[in-house]
Amino acid sequence: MLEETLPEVFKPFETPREMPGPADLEQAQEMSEFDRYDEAAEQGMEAYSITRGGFAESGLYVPGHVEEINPEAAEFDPEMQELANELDTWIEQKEPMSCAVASQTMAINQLEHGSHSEQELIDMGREKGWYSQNGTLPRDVGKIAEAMGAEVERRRGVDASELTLANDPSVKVLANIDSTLLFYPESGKRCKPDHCVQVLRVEQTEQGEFVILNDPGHEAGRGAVYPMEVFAKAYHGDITTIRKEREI
Amino acid sequence: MNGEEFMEQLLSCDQAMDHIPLELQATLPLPCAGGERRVVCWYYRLDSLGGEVKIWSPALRVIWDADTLSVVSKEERQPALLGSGQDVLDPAHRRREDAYLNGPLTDYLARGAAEGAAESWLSAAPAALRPWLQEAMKEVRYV
Repeated sequence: MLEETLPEVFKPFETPREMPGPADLEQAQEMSEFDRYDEAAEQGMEAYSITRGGFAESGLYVPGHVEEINPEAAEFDPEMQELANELDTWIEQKEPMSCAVASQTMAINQLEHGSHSEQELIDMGREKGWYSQNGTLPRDVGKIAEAMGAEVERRRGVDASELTLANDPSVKVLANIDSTLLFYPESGKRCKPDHCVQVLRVEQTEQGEFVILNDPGHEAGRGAVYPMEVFAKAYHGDITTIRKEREI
Repeated sequence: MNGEEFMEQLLSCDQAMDHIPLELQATLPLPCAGGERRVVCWYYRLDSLGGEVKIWSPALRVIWDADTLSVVSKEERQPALLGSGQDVLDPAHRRREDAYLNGPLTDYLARGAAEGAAESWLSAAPAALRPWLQEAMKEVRYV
């Protein structure tokens, strides 16, 4: 029967209630779209598309990028919604040593849907002694975000497998990495982190595990995609998590 | 503790977190002369963000107490671009580093002796940094 194939909201009411108004109909339509998205997701529809990276002859690893987020995924899946927000808030660092400040700027803007400029945070960092021409001390990464009302935790010795915590839309994860090893993972250089990036997601796919970053260090850093085995060579276990604590 | 383990601790100890900016790379530790067990490191910028590796002169010199991993003294410098640091990608660079850490530095940590440490240390530094370090070595009493 036709009645059985209709969404619940269009079926005859069993108990008296108000007739559906425009808002209810809109909600019903949304529900129906969600059901279609949910079904498609179950069938393996890609929530977003990425380009794959690869090695240049020089040994330089050129990362892939998140190309597009499926509009329905961005509408109905909170994780994809947040990924879109994170990509929108990517910035390129203004000063050679301001990677940690730029990463905090992105995190704060994502958490509060704000539009703070990196300069604003650079000025605060200089004033408080958390940022100088030589950069940011590891103990001070996250302090600007903390002063702006975020809950910040600096952690060491965090295994790369735990970085999936970045998939939680309410947690922003900054990772200290060796930038030379991220570009030249086969070089064998001793790992000494010298750059701060935001980890947006860790994904397990049939092609393997990969990491999506917002890297403020270069113009192609927005939604940069690295295979986990490449990222892991540059990663030493130092992260900073930033959460929304109170109204910021 | 061998030189390799010591280097790892020097990079990640609490005082390094409190005194050495994240963005700087470190030279290997050079043992200082004298009765106290001290080592000196210079900290410098290595920029690979454009794909080309560039190296700056050190922004910081720190003398460390090798036993307590605490900062004895710290001096800031004005860094200047020195040139290409592409040689840090070369496997030979890592081999020279390992040879110094597992040879002279390990000897120094174990016995206080460090035969040929300074030459081995300098040859393990990135090529563009060596002339600068050679000058800077005059300011410290090394073994």
